[in-house]
Amino acid sequence: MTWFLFAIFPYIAVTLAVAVGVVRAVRRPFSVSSLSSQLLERRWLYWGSQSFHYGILLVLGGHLLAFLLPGTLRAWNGSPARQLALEITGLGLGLYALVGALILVLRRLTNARIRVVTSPMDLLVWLALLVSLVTGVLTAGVHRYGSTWFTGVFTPYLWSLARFAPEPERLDGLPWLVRLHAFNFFVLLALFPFSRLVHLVTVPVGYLVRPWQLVVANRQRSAGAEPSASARN
Amino acid sequence: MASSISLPALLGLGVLLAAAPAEGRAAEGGGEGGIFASRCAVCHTIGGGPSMGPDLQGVTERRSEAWLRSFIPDPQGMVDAGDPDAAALVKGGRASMPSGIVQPAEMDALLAELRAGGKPAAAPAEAPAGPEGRAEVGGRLFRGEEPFANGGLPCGACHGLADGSSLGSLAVDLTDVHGRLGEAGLRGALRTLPFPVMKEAYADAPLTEQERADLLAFFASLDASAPGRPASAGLLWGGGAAVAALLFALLGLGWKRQRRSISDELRSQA
Repeated sequence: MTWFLFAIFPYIAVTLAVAVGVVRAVRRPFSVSSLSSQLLERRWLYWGSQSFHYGILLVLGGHLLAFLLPGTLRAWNGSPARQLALEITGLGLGLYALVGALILVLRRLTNARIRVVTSPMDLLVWLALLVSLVTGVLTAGVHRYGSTWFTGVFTPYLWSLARFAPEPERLDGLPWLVRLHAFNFFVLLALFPFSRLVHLVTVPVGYLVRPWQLVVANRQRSAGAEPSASARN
Repeated sequence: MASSISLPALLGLGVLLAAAPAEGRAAEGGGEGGIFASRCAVCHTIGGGPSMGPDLQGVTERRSEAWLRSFIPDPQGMVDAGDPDAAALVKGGRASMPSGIVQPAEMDALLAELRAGGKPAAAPAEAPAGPEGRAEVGGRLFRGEEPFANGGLPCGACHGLADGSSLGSLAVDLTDVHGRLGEAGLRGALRTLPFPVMKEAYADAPLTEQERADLLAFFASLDASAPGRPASAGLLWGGGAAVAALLFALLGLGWKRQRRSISDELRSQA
């Protein structure tokens, strides 16, 4: 079981993400999008989307740092005070992203205009994201200190995957919460090319710093429809 | 004539062939002092009374060989299979003894050690002739203030201490580990680290002899009975919630500065 979950499935997920992602980008380039719903509802989107995206990007960056520069992270955590500060920041960002995600999910389920443009795949993506966020936040709070033990458990495991010599036994004995968090990452990777998650590769840096774009709905108003809006997407 | 010589010779060769791999396994798997000393003595004694696990004196007479061969490599598997004797040994259906510490192929050697009453397994009891431990250095190694020479994770990454100086909680609190395992058991545990996650994490980052001595001295210096301040995990949760709340407050400032939609502009001017 461990072998399938942590040695075989990760390769299936990466293969799907790359192969289907490339095919989609080539054959249906305009589908590589976040399918913004900003024109339909703006206020809840602002609170949910900003907090979710900034939170999750920074937390993801932290995971990436632990994978690529474990020594640097270990050196930082060499002082218990610095370690606690980092853990508090990480947990805070995780909670920030989780609350943002809950806002967005509620918006998607309760706002009639958003529900119309919601596909089953959107709900599946949200379910997987919520599993990631909840298990991640609980791991940070309950199975301390992830920022240090990641470097001795997951960093060598992930490098073993990269070397095509998987060592899933490194995850044996970890609490189920941590294993679910890790496995769910590969689930998200597998969902990535089939869902709106593909907007992750739409040049994220430019996405963050580029100037405002005015998106104007140029059509007759219909009853009940919110008129034109300026938008960032 | 030829056959009368060759038969014993063949038998002898067979015995040699059968014995050679067994010896090889014992030497490879057991490390110094045999399998019992390096892996089981962390939690068990032979004739020394119960420790973390039961005293294994006479266990080969109390239990059948077949049962021991199944149980020792995979205790949880036996519990799950509904074995009543295995179930009686565990609490809440969960075996505290991890599977995989001893491989089925190593059971010949281990059973021989157990039958011999731990004779070859006396290593943990032998007088330590290693370096002198420095409790203060051990504490720094534990908390990660000083890195291990071979790059192993600091203990505090996963283990907590009751005085709150370490809040690690992936694994058990180690405040009373010295009292729980005893000097010999703890020395054996530090040498082989036979626990599920640690076994892999330290396989290519073993502790040096000096580091083990320093940690041993540190653990011995901890007073498990002292009224420690409870591990203040609340600080982490509270701090995290405060960070999130602060970020939402900043977001609130941003909302007011957001560019309004054209229709909002027009409405406000009307």
